[in-house]
Amino acid sequence: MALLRTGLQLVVLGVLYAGCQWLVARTGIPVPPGLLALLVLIGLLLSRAVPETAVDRGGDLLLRYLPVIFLPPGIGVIRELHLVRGHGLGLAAVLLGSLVVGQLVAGLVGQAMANREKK
Amino acid sequence: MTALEILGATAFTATLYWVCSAVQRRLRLSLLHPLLSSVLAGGTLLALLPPAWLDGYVRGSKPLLWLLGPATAALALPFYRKRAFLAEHPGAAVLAALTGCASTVAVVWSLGSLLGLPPLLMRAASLKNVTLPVALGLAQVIHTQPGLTTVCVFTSGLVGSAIGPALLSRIGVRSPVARGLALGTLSHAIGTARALEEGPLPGAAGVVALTLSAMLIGAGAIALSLIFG
Repeated sequence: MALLRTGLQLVVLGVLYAGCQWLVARTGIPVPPGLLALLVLIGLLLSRAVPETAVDRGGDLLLRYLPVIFLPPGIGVIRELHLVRGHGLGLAAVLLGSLVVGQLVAGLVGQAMANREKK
Repeated sequence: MTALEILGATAFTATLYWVCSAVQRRLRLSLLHPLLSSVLAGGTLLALLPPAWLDGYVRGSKPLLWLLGPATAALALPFYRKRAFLAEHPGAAVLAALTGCASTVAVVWSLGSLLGLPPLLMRAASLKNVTLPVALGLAQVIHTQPGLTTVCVFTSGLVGSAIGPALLSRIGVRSPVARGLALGTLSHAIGTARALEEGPLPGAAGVVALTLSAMLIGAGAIALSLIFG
């Protein structure tokens, strides 16, 4: 029974995504269908149009195995390595610099706002 | 795309991840994230084989990759479960995510231009703090490469969760809310897992921040693609 419920919930999530894919293809709006499906599901859950129990098992299963789905694009990077040639150090510096600055800014702003919200 | 390619690619991907997870559990090295070691091992292996194998793998992994869409939608669940955090700290959550995203993208483009990085690399680096399923969708919208985007997202997650806590302590950010927000905004799910080690409040902040960051960078990327095409 639990397996059937999980399976049906996976179908529900698949249909939601396929619907968003269709909408994006039909209208030509430059929104990734996955992001659109995420926003739609947040809206449906918050408005209580869809209860959490309608998608929780299937959703949690997909999230648990999400890293496996990331592997094909990750491995595909070997086809793109020529694009980094000569820019490896520069890219590393940009990634590290922007990461540090972003974390400091988010942390300091978050702390200032959290202190204000506490008062 | 043949049935054999699909079967082979799926079995290869699952086995690779399973083996790398087992190695990580045994060695307990956090920098040896199974995702990173799987990409390095799988990439090296396929680079050593004839190019037709890589082509077959890419074709055969398409059905597995399609699951990324429903999985992205499923990210609504952790956000929905932590909605009480957003209701309690709306200003802190939104402003930390907004300023964190804006400042990190500004540094990517200013420092990247200074160092002469090609726009393709800067576009991939601009998506580094977005949770990977959303970042891969956005990579198509702003015309950058999925593999490069994956590497940038990994780097931000792994390096940010390794140095972030010490960095935040050094500048006096001790509020659990702010620490979770900073880790979630810049290092998405990997940073959120690190924030969760500090307690449930930073963990909840991380979940909310990673979702808000994905929406904010997503909105920015879509707006830019509408303006510049």
